[in-house]
Formats: sequence, C-alpha cells, structure tokens
Amino acid sequence: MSSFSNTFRPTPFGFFDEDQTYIREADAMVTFVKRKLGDDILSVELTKKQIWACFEESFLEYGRIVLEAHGKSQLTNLLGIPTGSLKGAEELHPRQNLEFALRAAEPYAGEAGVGGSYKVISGSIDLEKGRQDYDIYEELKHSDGSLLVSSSLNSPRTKMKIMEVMHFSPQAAYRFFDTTSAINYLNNEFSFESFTPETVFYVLPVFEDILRAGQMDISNRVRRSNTSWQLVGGNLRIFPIPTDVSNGKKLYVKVMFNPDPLNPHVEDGTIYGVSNLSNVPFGQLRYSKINEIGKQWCRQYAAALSKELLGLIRSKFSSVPIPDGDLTLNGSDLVSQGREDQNNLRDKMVELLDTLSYGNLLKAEAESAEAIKTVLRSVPIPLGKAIVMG
Amino acid sequence: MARLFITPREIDFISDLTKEINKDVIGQKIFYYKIRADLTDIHEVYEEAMTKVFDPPVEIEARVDWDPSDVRTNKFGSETFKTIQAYIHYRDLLDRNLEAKEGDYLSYGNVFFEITSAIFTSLIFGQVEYKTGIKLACKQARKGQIDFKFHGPTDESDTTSDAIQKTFVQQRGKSVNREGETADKRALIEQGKIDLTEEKPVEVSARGDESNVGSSFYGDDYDN
Repeated sequence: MSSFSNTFRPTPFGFFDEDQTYIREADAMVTFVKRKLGDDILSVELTKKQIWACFEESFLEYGRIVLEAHGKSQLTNLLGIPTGSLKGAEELHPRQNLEFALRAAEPYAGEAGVGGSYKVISGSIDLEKGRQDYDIYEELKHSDGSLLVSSSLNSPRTKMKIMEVMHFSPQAAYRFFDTTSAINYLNNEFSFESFTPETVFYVLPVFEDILRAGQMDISNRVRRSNTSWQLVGGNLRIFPIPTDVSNGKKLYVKVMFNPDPLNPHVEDGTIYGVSNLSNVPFGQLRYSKINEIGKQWCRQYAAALSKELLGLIRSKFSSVPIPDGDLTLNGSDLVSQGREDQNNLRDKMVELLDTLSYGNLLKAEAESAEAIKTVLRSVPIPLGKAIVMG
Repeated sequence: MARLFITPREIDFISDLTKEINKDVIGQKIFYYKIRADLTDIHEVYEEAMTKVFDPPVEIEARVDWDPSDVRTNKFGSETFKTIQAYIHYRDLLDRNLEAKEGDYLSYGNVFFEITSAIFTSLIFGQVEYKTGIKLACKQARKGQIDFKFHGPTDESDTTSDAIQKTFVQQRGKSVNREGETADKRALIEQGKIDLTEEKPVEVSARGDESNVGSSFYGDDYDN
C-alpha cells in the first residue's frame, strides 16, 4: 500500500509535504476518514490523494481563519510595517503601538500648525495704496519673486489653502493700562506687553480684566478700522484699505497645498508598508507548530470535506442502473451533511477566535478584575486591617 | 446519457457499485450448471440428450425474483411448478468467463431450474457496449434431467448442514475471503484508482454472537 511519503505529489499544493508531523498524520487521516465514512463495511470511493487533498485544504482553511482573526485583532499595530515576502509575521506576537491613532490625528495637528506631514510655506504680497483686493495666485510670491502657487511642493498644481495672514488687529491688552502710552505701542509690536516696568498691577477680580478686555476689543472693531481679511475665490481682501505703503510694505501669508496622501513632504516609508489585510506578511502556518486544538479541528474538517467529496462523487448520478432495477445513491445527503459539518466547524472556530481577539481579551481581563473585587469585598477582614479595594 | 459525462471510468464505478450491492450487501446466490455439449451424448434424430454432462457448479451472486409455486392440474393429476427470474451482473459473468445460455441449469434453494431465456436487461446509460446484467427466466427442471446434491442454503426444514446459511462474508474486491476464493474483481481497485480496503471483509456469523451459536454482525479482525 502506498503511503504519503512514497507517493509522488500526494497533495495538490504540496505546502506541507515536508513537515514530518503532517506526514505522520496524513497516513492516519486515510484510516480516520475511511472509517468515519463506513469503509469497513461498504466501500468509500475516495482515493488516498483525495483524502490528502482534503487534509491539506483543512489546514489551509484553519490557517486562513486563524490569521484572518489575528489580522483583524492586530491590524492597527501592523499597518505600515514592511510587507517583505508576505510571510514571517504569522507566528509572532506584535507589540502594541499607537501609530494608527497618531496617524489618524496627524491631519488635525497639521491644521493646528503643530505637526503633520505637510509643509506650510509663506510668501508675501506687495501692498498698494488704496487697493484692497489681491489675487493670491498671481501676486503671492516667494522672496525670489516666483509665485507661491508654482512651488515644487505643489505638483500637480492644486488650490492653495490660507493657513495664516500676518495682518493682526492690535491686541486689546496694550490699551489696558494706558491707551495713549507710547511704550504700549512698542510693547504690542514686540509682543511683550504686561511685562514692562510701566505695567502696574491692581488687585482686582479677574472678571474685571476680562470684561475690560472685551470692551476694548469691541471698541476696536466698532469705533476703529479693525484689521481683518477675507478670502473670496482667489482674491484676498484686506481691511482696512492700505493708506501708507511707503518702504514697500508687504502682507505676509502662510499657505498649504492640497496634501497628497501618497507623497507627503516628509519622507514616509510606511506608505509602502502594510496597507490592509491583503498584504500583512502572514505566510502559511506550520502544522508541526500548531497545538492539539488546531490539529483536531483540521482532522474533523478534513473528514467533513471528504464527506462532501464522496457525496459529489456519488451524486454524479442520483441512481445507477443495476439488473432489473436502479440503485439510488446517497450523494446529496453526504454533500449536505459534509457542508453542514464544515459550516459548524468554521462558525465555531470563528466565534472562538472572535472572543479571543486582543480587544476582547482586555475586556475579559477587566471583567475578571471587577469580579475579583466583588468577591474580595465579601471576605471578612480583621478589624483595623482592612484594605479597601476600589 | 452523453458519452461526455459517462466514460469508461464511470462505467467501472457503476459496475463496482452494483457488485458491491450484490456481493457485499444482498448476498443472494445461485449455483450455475453449464452443460458440456461436447461431452454430452446427443441423440442424432431428436437432438436431445437424455443424460447431460455438466461442468462443476459455479456459485454466482444474483438477485432472484422468486415466484410462488404454480399448481397445475391435468388428466394426470396435479403438480407444483416453480419459476424464478435470476438477474446476474454482466461483468461478473465476464470475470468468470461464463456465458449464460438457454438450456443451462441452475439451482436456487432446493430446486433445480432450467434456463428458458437469457436476455440482457438494459444498457448502461444507453451505451450499447455496456449491459447492466442478464435476466435468466427459469422454470423448474423436470426430474431426471439434473440430479445433484443441492448446495445450501436450501430450506430450514432440511436437515443438511448447509440448509441454512449461517455465515455471510463480504468480498470487497478481495480474491480470497474467509470462505475461500471469491472470483470478485472490482475495476477501480484493479486499475489502482482506489485502494483495496486494508480491513478484512466483515461478516455476519456466529462469531458476532456472544454465545457463538446465533448469528450477528462481526467486524473485528483481531482473532481472524
């Protein structure tokens, strides 16, 4: 009788044909499957190669389910790592990290001007006396005179996003103490108001300061020509209308271009790393490296696959002619039983693995900790020696 | 059915299934007595032989349609008359190199029958070269035409040792089982498509009965 090791190409893919544990089980699988299907009494029309094919498929299916669950549980930690030859991480226990969350927060940081992967660049517009509107696509320039919108960072050319216009209202604080003090104008210009020798502090409720600052701010807006700007299409309109532009007064503007998610301004190799479940470097599991839980699942699944296969063979004809009659075969029953067995095994395995995802394990740990506290609360503690939990 | 779907391999599969039903499940059998025309003394005028010479009987698994006896009454009195139809797997005959013909005899139970017609029952999925089996229409042989000891099973009222078949042993494509040579051939096994079972053929016999007197299923092979 041929055995697995002396059969030429015993399995369709040959993934595990060199695994000694697998080889040992393969021969036993033939006996297991045939006995399960009743071959001791009536023939089971399956070849050894068919049973070995089912065995191989069962382990491949087991690997798929396990790795799918592992990927689902760990994808956020694995995103961005090198894909390599798409194997090597299947038997590893990755460290937790916050890269996924940080990456998701990055755009907000960029908008706030405190991080991100895209540069903010600045340029200036030469102001003209009495002119309020300036086309940022035609007049906003680098110091070398080139247009900001034509920057090499903006390829292909996209719309600019104004991040900041250096066109501030005078801060209300400079009028806090003396609206006419010359020193306060200087303080405002150099941003060190409230720290000058001229500053006098009074012990007053804080709301008094707040109310007064608000009052001055509204005064600036209503009574004076408040400094502000607005963007309409590509035109930047500034308020108030420039009156004194002697010495080439400029308006400085910071802009961002449309962020290309695959080509950030900061070099980022993780873009070419794992992007989804399809390229997580999960290769095949090794049969010799799985425990008895997995092995028994594979045996049962191989038996279910074999049952379906036998059913398919027998249901090629629903009945076959015999002398003076027809013989009805049980193919369709075997097919439906085999598929039902497979579905049950798969569903139970998926369900089990779902309860064992890292997230669910944490929840279980938390529940366990709560339960321990509840139990400990009812344990009598000697007087004066109580350690109160929670 | 189209030859695209029914190839010789499917025919082999069907043949093996049929043999399995006949040999490993049903277990009905007849004993076929082939006339040796070359050794029989045939009357020159009537072309009949008062005394016929037979080959040794061949045990063949068959499905037997047994009719109740017909009682005929005429001027000589009344007589009980039996007929049966035996269906034999065609390939089983080919395996044994046996040709079933009208005029041959067979025994079933404790009656000898003469074959009055031997016809093919049907084609396998319409393919003319493959027949399912042969239907042998048989009538009870007249006394004196064939006179041998009956091979059992015959009838439980008989006192012979083999009147009741106490042992039924499967064949499973093996050339020999516990009862001797089987002449059983399974095409898919012979062609190496599937393996001959490694298990010993199971049986229904006294070995399956704790008291070793009755008869029950016996599938363990530790004391074979």
